[in-house]
Amino acid sequence: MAQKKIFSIICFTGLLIAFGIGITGETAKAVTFQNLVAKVDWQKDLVKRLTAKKWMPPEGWEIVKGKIPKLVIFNSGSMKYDPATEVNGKIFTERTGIEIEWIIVPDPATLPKEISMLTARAGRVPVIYLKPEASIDFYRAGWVEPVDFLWSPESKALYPKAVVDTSSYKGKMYGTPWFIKATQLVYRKDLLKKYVGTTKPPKTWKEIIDYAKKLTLDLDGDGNIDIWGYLFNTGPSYPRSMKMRINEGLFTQGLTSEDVLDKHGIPQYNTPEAIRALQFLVDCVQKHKVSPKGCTTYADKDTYELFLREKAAMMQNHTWINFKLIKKMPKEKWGVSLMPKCGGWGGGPEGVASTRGGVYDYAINAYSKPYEKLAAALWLDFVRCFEACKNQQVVEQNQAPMSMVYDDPEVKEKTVYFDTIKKTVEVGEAINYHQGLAICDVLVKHCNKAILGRMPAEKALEKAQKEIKNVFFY
Amino acid sequence: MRLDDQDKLMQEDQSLMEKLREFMDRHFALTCILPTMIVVFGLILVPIYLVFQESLFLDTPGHYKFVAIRNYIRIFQNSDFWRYLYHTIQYSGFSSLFSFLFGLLLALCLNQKIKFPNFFRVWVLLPWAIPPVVAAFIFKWFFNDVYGAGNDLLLKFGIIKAPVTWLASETFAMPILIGVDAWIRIPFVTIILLAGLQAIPQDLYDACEIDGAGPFQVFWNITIPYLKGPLLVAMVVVTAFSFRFVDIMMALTGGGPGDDTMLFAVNIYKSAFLRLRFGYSAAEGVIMLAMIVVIILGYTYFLKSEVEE
Repeated sequence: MAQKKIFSIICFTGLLIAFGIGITGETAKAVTFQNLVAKVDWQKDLVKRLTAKKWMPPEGWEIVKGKIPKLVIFNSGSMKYDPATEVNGKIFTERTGIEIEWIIVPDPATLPKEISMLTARAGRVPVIYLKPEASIDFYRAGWVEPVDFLWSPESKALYPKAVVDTSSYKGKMYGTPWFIKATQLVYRKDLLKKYVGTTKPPKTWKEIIDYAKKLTLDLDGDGNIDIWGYLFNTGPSYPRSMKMRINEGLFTQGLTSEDVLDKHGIPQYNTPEAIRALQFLVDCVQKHKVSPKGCTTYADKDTYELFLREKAAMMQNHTWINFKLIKKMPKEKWGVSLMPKCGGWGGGPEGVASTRGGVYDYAINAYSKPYEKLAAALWLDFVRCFEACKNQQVVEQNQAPMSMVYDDPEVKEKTVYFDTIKKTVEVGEAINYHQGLAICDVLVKHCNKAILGRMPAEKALEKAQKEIKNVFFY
Repeated sequence: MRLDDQDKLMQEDQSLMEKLREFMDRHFALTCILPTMIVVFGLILVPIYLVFQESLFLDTPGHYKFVAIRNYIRIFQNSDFWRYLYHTIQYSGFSSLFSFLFGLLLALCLNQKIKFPNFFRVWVLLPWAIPPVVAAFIFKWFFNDVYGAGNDLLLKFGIIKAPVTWLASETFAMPILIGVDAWIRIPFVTIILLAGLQAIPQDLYDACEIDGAGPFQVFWNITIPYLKGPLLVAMVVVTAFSFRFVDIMMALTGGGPGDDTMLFAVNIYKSAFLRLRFGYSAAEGVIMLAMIVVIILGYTYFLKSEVEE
């Protein structure tokens, strides 16, 4: 009798749970992200809203009010180092009433955490922080929502073409750009004046080497180098570095993204231009000895650290370090320029002074709930606007992706080395392809061996290209 | 309800309770460990099964299909697998060996009658208290070719004439990695062996002294046999940890120069999070699990039988 009672209770409870799930499921089905997106007028006065001094949300956005407790967003690294993002977060909350919960993830762990979450189809974090090397893979995997509803041809024209292209895949937009990380040449004005006889930076690859030879100094005569002429980083702990160095070498030879990718979208790194780019790095270390072998172990932070300790006269590094350098070193002592053009080095073309730009996007987690996605869409709309982009530039020296930001007087005044920074956005090139992270790893593995003198540059890139082909045709 | 029916109902209820009590009394031990077994099953066996299942699929973004053992075949056909396995055996083997040798030496020293034994024990334990990633970064700074303290000291003492690029050198990078790993593991081995040494009856040493046995004879015939139990525990843990740990290598060398210090465990991580080949990575994980099981069984076979004797 007791057994029958227990059995009946279990059955009844089970029925209740099933009923409850059914009701919830039915209710959930009625509300979809697409339905909610259709209720908001994203396109109305789109350009006006994005270019206004103060961003306003689109008409109809109020349907998300009170529907979610907080909008959860990944941030790569501590908020202490992202004051502009914090400011933008506060503005967003002020204008929409939506509180933001930041999930702080150390920079190297950002992508693994996001990949883990998305492969588990978890929607806990509706706003995905996209790094340039992985963005296409996220789009292809269907992990993020297409966001064409946020864009129009007129709004795309507010940003450089390279920036818009890297936020899209097969004609669809998947992300919104919120800052750019470009490469620049950073140099010590005082050392250039003393040992080279000019404060003007080198304009060609040959000049880099000529300057670097004069700037590689043994100050105390003990036979050991105290200041290196030229620093770059290709260390495996920051695997993107090697890809960046090769790409910079390609762009300063005048190549563009279309020249590097074949008809299948696979990057070709065993071309004469790529070999020349790698050979330049090899020669800096092996032939001219103006760069230490340790460059093959450095991340960007290491080269920055060495420059700060006055162990290097020139270095390649990201534009974001200007924010740090200006606090630690007087501006009279250092300067920045675009990466010098090839200038015919090694039989190469004349090329152009250029840079490599990495575009960082936010995207919407495809597995989040509909209202969370809508709130995420509002955030994506906000971060690309003039106000948010200007804050990135002025508060943190993070390069703004929106071109008109550079016409603002406050930006002109507060941006360190404004002219160069503006130019990096205008002339910067970017290449995006899927399996970006795998290719970074392949290039580091083989190209560092060439830089260390263990194999010729051509052989290293041949091996790398063979492995890249396997990566794509797995 | 009639009184008879009520009694009958109460009797049935009681017999159910009695039956339950009887079962628990008969299988008391099982009852006690049942919650733990459920947790173990849930947290260990289920993920292992899922990883094994995943290893039978081609799972990359946009593609998911059953491929049976194709992932395993690809792994064994990949020359990088064998090279990284060799690196791992080198790394784990030498790290375990040095951990054992130096751990035993320190344990023997700490087992002597010394002043302030706790003070020395704290210092011995210090490397273990430092998180491995932090330790790796400390050594990375130490071995920096431009401003590292290592080069500075060696130059000052005239041991080297020019700074050495330690972490970019194919000669030194792996030994440094092994050294750092051993440095972190030695305290653990020391403490385990010290506990083992202190459990050896003093009478045996006294008897050896009376019989005129030399120090080496005492060490070989008394100390070592009695240490085999703790040694089994220490070596299994140390070997398994160094086999599968990724943090030291990733922080210190990143696998470089080139891929001279790339380890199998790190390659599993890269297969999943860089190449986004989840099925392939799962297959590598299954292979690693099998290898660790073989290692543990090997240790157990060689050491446990002697312990039992």
